[in-house]
Amino acid sequence: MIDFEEELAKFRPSEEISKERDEVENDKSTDLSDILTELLKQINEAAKS
Amino acid sequence: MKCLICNVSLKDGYICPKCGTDHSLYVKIQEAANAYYNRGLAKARARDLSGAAECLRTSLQLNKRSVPVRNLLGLVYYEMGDADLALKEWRLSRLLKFRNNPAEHYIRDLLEDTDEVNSYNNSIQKFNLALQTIQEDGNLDMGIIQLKKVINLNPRLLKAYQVLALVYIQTQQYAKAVAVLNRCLEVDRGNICARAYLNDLKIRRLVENKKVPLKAGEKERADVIIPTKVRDVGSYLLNAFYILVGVALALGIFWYAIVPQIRSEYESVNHYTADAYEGKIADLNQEVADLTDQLEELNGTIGDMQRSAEDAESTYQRHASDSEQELVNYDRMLEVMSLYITHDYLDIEDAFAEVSRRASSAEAYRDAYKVVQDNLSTDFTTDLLVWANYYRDTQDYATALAYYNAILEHGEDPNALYWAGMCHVYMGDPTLAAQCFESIGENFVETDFFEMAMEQLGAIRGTNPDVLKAQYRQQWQERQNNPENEEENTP
Repeated sequence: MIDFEEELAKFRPSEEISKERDEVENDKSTDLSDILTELLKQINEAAKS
Repeated sequence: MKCLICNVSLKDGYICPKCGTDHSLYVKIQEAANAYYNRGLAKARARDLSGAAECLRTSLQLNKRSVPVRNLLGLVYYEMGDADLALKEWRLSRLLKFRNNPAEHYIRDLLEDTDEVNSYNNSIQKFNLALQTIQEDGNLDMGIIQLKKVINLNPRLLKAYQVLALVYIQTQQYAKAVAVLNRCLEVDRGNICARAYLNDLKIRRLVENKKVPLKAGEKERADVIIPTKVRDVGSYLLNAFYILVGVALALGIFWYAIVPQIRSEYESVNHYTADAYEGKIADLNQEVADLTDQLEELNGTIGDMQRSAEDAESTYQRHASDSEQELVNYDRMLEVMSLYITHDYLDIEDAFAEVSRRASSAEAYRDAYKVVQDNLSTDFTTDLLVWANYYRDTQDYATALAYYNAILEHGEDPNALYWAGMCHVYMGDPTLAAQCFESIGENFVETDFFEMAMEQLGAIRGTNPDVLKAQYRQQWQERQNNPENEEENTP
């Protein structure tokens, strides 16, 4: 059976909508493409050296 | 596609022509990202919002620069009641692609609707307050009330359903919890939290050994919040189909049942109206015919009156002319009478000739006319001669000559001829005088005036009068002997 407190702790307050232009920065998270790009760069550099 | 290292366009294959980098793995990653996107799209269409969000987030983990994934994820978040998360995804999408990006419309539509924004923010504030009330204060009852308000404000806020169900479970209001969780699953069929709670409820019921049906009874539904149903597209289509069928049925009934009735009533009204108008038209036509007849009659009367007027006019003109003529004749008669009284016999004949005996029926007029006429026919020439001689004796030869000529107009007269000739002599006109004397010689040889005329003629011509006498006598004799011979040798 679920634990009330545990489940309740999972909920976080939500944010309101801001009409003001919110300068959203680019997503700085790393996706698999970024990882692959980094790997390929390293491979190329290794190959050159 | 461009090379990840040197950004050169890869025209053929996955090997970069410049740096030789193999992009086949990158392509597979992209394909996997697209596959997750497609799966997320299918789940979203099936109303599995949680599953769709999970697939789309996985797609972003493979390729965070995918604009369609972010747009769809934003829509899913919006449908789940997380408008702030939706707005965030759309703004990231707009950063990746500014032109022709639906995210721009989503953002504008969301932010331009001020009421919706305020309502959402209000619901979020209340949710946060309810969460705080439950988490920090432990006031579950108050939390329930607040969460009900939140759900009323924002029926799509799934977190509110989940928290409310959790509180209901904690307060052992299982039926309400079930109802709330079912409403949550109608919004999001694949909501893991709701399904987990429902499973927990089943277990609890089994544990508590209560055979309470999953659907709440009527009593327990008394204060269950029934949020606004969020229906799927299929139900809308079905409803639209039912509506169309209903409209078609209504139209059919209207067309076949009501329209004929209306038409017949209309036609009957029209017939009545048409008949009424036809009657009126017939009456008016009769009136027109009567008026036409009257008009013709009046025209005839006018014609008669015109003719009468013309006749009267002509009669008047005739009478007027007759009257005028009568007046003229009276004037002429007066003139004649005036000439007669003053013995002006030269003009009296001409003046009398213009007088009409029938000009007037007056007795006096007729008497005057008769007197003048008688005198002119009997004593007229005598009177003329008397006056001619008078004027001759008074040496008014011109007037005397006029009188003598007036006498001669009535016929040849030797006396008038001779003295007319003498007047010409006195007036110094021997030519005209000779004509007069010659006329006596031709016509009045046997008169006394013949001798005197020959004397005068001889004087004028310078010829012996006796010779002239002999010649004229001879001619006279010849004419007497041979009346057919009109030609004479004049000396």
